[in-house]
Amino acid sequence: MLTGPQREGSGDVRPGGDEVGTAGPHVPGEAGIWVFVLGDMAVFALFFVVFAVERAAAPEVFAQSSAALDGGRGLVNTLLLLTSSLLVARAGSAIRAAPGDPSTRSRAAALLVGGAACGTAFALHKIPEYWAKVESGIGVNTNEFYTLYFLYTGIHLVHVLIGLAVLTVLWRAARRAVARPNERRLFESGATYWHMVDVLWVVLFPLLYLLG
Amino acid sequence: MTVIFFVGWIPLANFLPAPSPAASAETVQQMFSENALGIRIGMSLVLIIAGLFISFGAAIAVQTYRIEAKSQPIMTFIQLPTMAVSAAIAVFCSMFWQAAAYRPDETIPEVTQALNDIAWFTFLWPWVPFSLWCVAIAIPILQDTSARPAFPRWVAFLNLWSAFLFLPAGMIVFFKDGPFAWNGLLAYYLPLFVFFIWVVAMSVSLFGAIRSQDEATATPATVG
Repeated sequence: MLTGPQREGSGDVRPGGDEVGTAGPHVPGEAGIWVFVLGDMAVFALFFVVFAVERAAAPEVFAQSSAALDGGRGLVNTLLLLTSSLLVARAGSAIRAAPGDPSTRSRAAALLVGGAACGTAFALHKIPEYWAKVESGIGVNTNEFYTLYFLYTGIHLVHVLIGLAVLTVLWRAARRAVARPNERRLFESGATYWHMVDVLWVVLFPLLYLLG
Repeated sequence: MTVIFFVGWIPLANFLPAPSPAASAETVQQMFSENALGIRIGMSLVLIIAGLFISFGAAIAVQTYRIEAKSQPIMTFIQLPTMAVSAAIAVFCSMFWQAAAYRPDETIPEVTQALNDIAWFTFLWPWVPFSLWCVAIAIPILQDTSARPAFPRWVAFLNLWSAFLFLPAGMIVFFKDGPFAWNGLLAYYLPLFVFFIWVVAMSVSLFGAIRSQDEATATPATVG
């Protein structure tokens, strides 16, 4: 049933599943992760539409509340996630280039630790940001803007936390001396999820912090 | 299950669009008084869904049990109580609505409103068991290393996506209006929509899983 030698690094052949043959482009990760990513991005697109509609209904409230957000913190968070994605991408390409080389694998593992550290810093940095608002008496019910601010960044934060678990899985895979057969698919899927988390923030940040 | 739910929900109980949590107690009582019969019949149909949840969930669990047969069926064990909780949710929310529609003119409006509140909370708020059910389905699918897997892998990712999107329903307790109230776009319509996508996807892939199970068990018999 195999029509010939597999393309180098074209990943796994799984009967009835993601068969990568000698023709056709390589889809990073597996079909399923794209079901998740595109589905999630569709939902966040809905979130952004809701934001636009609510903002059109109460532009002064949104402008005023947005200006009260700490743009500096938001920028720091953006840089943290972008750096994190860069490190994760570098880890992925290292593993893909030399999956058998131990020093490459440990370098990839270190890059993943760096990526996860940035992600953790992002999450921890949320605490003073939220706390500052709560301390000044601002919560989810204060106005429509703050409802969306807390809930959208909160749901995004849950994505980040799950992403940290995903990065941990990738880190454990990189630390193995011998690569498992589906490793490339795992790395690409995990990295795709993490980049999605980054993309979502890159849209959330200007929407919430800068648009006002 | 989908048909019964929508027949009970829309034309009979008139819960789409959902009544507003910001409505006054008098308005709520009037709604139950006017639509008492529709709610009683509609919610009786929703009760049937409790039974359908169980049989539907059991079929999925049989398939993930098949996947986990080599090790401990922990994910299958997690699914069983979560589908029981889902059935209980269907039982209790329909029952609270029945209670609200039972004596709408004989009691004070606040009582009707409170019963309506608790019914909506029961229906939407407990997102955790549903999300746990989805995660407990997704994990065995991703761990399936057999030659002919029971479910295609994208079904696992659909389950993980669904698990995420029940979370906004947990936000209804903070709001009486807006997108995260129980009649809101993001806490009501979105999770409801996601749930029915999930039901359809699981039903369709379940047929495939059962077919692959039949083929797997038929093969030894055809060996000469």
